[in-house]
Amino acid sequence: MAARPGRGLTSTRVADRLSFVPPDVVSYAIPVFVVLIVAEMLYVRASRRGAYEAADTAASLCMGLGNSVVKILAGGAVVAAYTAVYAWRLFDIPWAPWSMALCFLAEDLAYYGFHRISHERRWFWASHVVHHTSQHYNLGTALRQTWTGNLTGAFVFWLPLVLIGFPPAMVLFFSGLSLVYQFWIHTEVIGRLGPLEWLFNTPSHHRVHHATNPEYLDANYAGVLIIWDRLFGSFVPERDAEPPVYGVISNLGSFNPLRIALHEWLGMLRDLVRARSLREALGYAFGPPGWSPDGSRKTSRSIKQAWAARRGARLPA
Amino acid sequence: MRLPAELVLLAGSAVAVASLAALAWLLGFRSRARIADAGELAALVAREEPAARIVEAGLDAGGAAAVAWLADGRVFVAKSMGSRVATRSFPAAEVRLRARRDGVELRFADLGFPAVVLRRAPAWLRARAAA
Repeated sequence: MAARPGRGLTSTRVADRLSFVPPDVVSYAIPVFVVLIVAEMLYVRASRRGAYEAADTAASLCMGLGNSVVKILAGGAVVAAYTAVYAWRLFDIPWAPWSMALCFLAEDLAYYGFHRISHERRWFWASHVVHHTSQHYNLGTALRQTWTGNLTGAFVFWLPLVLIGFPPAMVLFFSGLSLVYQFWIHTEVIGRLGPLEWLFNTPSHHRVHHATNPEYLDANYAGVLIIWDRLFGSFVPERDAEPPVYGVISNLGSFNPLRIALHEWLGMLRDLVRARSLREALGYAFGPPGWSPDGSRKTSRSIKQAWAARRGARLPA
Repeated sequence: MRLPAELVLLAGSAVAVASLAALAWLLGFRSRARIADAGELAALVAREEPAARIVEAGLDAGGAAAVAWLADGRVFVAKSMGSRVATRSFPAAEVRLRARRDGVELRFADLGFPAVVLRRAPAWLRARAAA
């Protein structure tokens, strides 16, 4: 256990096992991403299953490129935050098969928490919305990533892991591995995968997550393992009778990457300037996306309630 | 010094982005959705705003956009976004109209939804823009 900064390295061997630097899996995966996108485009062209749109794809890929630029510019600050917290770690956890298995599970749970809050609180949604702004669902959409996430605090969701004592490099490794895993599930050309659907996040589960159909809203936040959604009650299966409609409730009218990256932040800023009380300001910044003092705007909940009312059903309070 | 390697990676990624976008275009993924008539606009309104009632409606001459004034004081806008259509509803007070020689421009207080131009706009919309 390491209760104070700098404590806990008892031998060179332990130090080596704590400071091992794994490969940057995301960078290594980029060529594979490119090959798979080309393959999917050709398949969609030949089979008419799934869809691409050149301008939409260009916008998605530009967002991915911008995300990489921000990582280079600001990644050091995130690593510094991890390192600073790691100095106060509770345990010295070495690189070992058992610790890597634990870290994988802990990272996947941290991702679930981050992802769920990113949909439920506007502050984090303002960054994450970028990933949902395409009305298409293909491997290009996977790379439509935020430019502002880590700049506005998304990395805090992984800090408990380094505080426990998982080496920052191990956490970053599994975080990267999760991102790489999530790439292939952004596709319409893969159906359901039998028993794998029980354990893993799959294209089918993630199609539901990207859908704006009322019954699919705010569901399936998983990274790699779908078990967290099953455990925490956010799992919704894809139904053949309800094909997903992709995008966001307020779809963008632009493919401009700057508009995609910043529209929700500027919308929040405009609301904050107009706020008439601290309560309103807090609601606009940290309430659910779409929150307004008079309830006149659409939120996931109001959309689901309206949908349930039309069907003659009731949602739980 | 890691920066050069990262720059090489970025440069390679930029080339890949351009190449993939070009490939998508060459493969023909460049269809454009059209809002062909008032019936299609009404269907969009019914889908997005089930409780809304259209008071007045207008379409762009090429079908690239459409607008409907709703009975509850909001303005419903639909715009072609590649092969899809993006729609929004704004309070009428937040929509700025400007008459142009070729039609009417509608501007919105939302960075995510840039101005829409209805070429050969209907008379009622031109009258609103002139007011």
